[in-house]
Amino acid sequence: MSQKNLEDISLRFSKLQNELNDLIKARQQLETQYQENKIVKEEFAKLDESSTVFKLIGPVLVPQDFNEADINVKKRIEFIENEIKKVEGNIQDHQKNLETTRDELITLRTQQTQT
Amino acid sequence: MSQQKVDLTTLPPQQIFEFKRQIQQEVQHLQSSIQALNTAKAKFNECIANIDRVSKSPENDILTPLTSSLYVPGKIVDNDKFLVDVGTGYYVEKNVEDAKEFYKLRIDKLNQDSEQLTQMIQEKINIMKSVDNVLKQKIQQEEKSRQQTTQA
Repeated sequence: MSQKNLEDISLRFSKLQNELNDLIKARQQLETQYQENKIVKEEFAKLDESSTVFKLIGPVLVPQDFNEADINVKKRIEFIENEIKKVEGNIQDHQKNLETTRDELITLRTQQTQT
Repeated sequence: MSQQKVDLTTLPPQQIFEFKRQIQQEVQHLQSSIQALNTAKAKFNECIANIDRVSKSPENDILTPLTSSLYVPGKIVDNDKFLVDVGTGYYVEKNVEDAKEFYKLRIDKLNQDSEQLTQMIQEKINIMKSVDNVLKQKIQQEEKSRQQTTQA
């Protein structure tokens, strides 16, 4: 009976591990996007309304209003910051979950070796 | 990550070995990052060279790539206007000076980053060396105690 339990828990453990890895990947991707957007924001800070800005949409460069582009980038940074917070909270929850599952696993294993 | 200090000498050799492997992986990762930075740097340098070539050349005939395998002859109307990719799909019109300045700043930033990375790699390598030493000592100790037990 404890054999079944052990299997269940180790399955849950590896599932949690995979999910945590995915979350960490997502977090890294967000960080890359965040950094790139920050560079663009810094660049825009040096420009003014007289600058000509284009946005690459597919293979085509589309003229953009500078103010609009500036607001867009700022909004995107805000969005990414929120996403990062969300993912980070998720990661923490997962880590806690993983730890408790691991503890359960260890106690079960020691119990088994003892009997 | 669990941030706790562990005295290496108290660990069994397998764990020390595992730890060493981890650091090795980190070093490899950092080295590939440096390579990526160098590629980016080369690309920006090429951009500057191209700006110079276009702005200083008396000719203004070029072949414009429509796709990577299709070109049309074209003329440069204004060789003091460049569209610079500033990231996330945005392009900004810049004159020769500003465009070059832009790329120079990017290269400076990359140089700073790669300097930091080199430092980090050096630190990791130093750690690895000391871990190696501990490992050697451990193995010697174990051998000694094994010899003693066989003798006894």
